[in-house]
Amino acid sequence: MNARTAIQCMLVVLLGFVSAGCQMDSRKQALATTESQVALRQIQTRAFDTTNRQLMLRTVIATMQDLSFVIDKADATLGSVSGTKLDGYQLRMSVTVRPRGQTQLLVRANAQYNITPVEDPEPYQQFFTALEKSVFLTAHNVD
Amino acid sequence: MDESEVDLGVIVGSKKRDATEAGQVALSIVMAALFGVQTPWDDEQKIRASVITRKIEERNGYAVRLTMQRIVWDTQGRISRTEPLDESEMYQEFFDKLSKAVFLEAQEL
Repeated sequence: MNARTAIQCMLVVLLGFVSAGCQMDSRKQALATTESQVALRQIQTRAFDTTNRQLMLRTVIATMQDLSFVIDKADATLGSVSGTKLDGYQLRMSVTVRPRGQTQLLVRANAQYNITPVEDPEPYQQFFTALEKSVFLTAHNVD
Repeated sequence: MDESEVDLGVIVGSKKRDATEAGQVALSIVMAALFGVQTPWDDEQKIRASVITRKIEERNGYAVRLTMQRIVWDTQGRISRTEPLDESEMYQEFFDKLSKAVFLEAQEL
């Protein structure tokens, strides 16, 4: 194979990658999302009619444990909890709890599945459904 | 000990241990003898655990909840398994040890 043929082959391969939609600069993944900022907030956030932040954080931790997460970090001052679920895959999730006005708390979850951000509404809906049940149980001391 | 948060009753710890299992090593030796192919076997593992405690006012005590998982690397340094540890015996063993530790602490031994 002469030099010209080699260059032609390389160009063909390069064009193949570009036409296949392959990224040319993986550093751009740092701030990349497929959903808009507003859409992501809507998918990942719920408001709860309580102002007891610490109880909500404890409920978040219990819910994550219900879903087989092992807690990685928790910070009551910042109102954040993060955990990892391993089951042939790695699912990492961070949850933040912060006040919203005088009567509510905002809970926001953020997950990544292996190296892919979770931007589909369904898994977040499942998490918040589980959290709603836990809040109800905690409020009524059923467990 | 990796993390702790007093206000939320969170303790996170991990340890690395040997993950070699005789069956896998034997299988690898058989494969090497029959087909001349060296297959990797599980080599080491990291076991992670988080323990969450909360006060139960009406019983004047504490509830303790534990979850565990592990990551296993093979002899080629690749992750071969990521899984929850959910055998009830393991949890029973932890709580037995915790009960004993609480007793020993109370006796100041």
